[in-house]
Amino acid sequence: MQILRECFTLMVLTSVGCGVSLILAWSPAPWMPDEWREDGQISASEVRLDSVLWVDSRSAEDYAQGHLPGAVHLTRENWGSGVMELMLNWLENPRMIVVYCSEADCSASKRLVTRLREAVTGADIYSLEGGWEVLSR
Amino acid sequence: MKSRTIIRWILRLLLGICFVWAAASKFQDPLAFAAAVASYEVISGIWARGVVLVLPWLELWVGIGLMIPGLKRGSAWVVWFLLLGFIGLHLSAWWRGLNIECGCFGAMGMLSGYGMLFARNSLLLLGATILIFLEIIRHREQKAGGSH
Repeated sequence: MQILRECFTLMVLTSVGCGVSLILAWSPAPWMPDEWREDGQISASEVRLDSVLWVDSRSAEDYAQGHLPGAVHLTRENWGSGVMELMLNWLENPRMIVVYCSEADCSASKRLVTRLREAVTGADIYSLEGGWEVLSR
Repeated sequence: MKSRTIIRWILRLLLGICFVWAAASKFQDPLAFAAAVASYEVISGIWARGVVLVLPWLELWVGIGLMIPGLKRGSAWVVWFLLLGFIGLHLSAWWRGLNIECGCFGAMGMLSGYGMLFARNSLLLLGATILIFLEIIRHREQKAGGSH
């Protein structure tokens, strides 16, 4: 009987915690649509930099000038070798994949995300809102 | 008698720290946890988001509860059932050949492969089982002592 009472107390405490999470927007409400998933975009504040597999979809010149550590360079031009490198990285340590682009070619990066989702099934793949400009700030 | 008390305290402390740590990593990166929940391909949509909301708090409270006299027994049972559920989930993912992200302790707790995952959770489950067993013995002894 006492154990049940303790479990009930834990349930109440958990419910209070969930209420706090919802009020302070620490966690999205379960009944709300998952907008960031629907449009395939994710903002930099929602991403923890060290737990993401980055994909740089900018030109080879831009990539050579500077990119995030560990970012895989992947464009339409190097699709075959780039996807292979990405797959190897992801299989070694499966984690969220985020594609970033530059302002000039962001529509290309969204198409890349669509293609990637077909190629790397099972992975969570997003394109970064604001692209490289946000990261390099 | 005294050694049993020490073992109980060590187990409560270890399990408590593990669960508080697990909760903290989920609070720190809810998005990664959401991705991990989705990777199990068991639940989705409202149910998955419900787990992302509830589980970190439940883990936090049972982790703290293990150290609080008025909550320790209930917490030990919840921990036991949670661990059993986690092992069942991992077994199911392994059986289906899924390449999952554990989601247990965030990026810091990454383990390589299912073998390590099963070993860790089995050890924790063993610890929780011993703790519950010792708590039952202690409770019976207290009751017997009180009736004399």
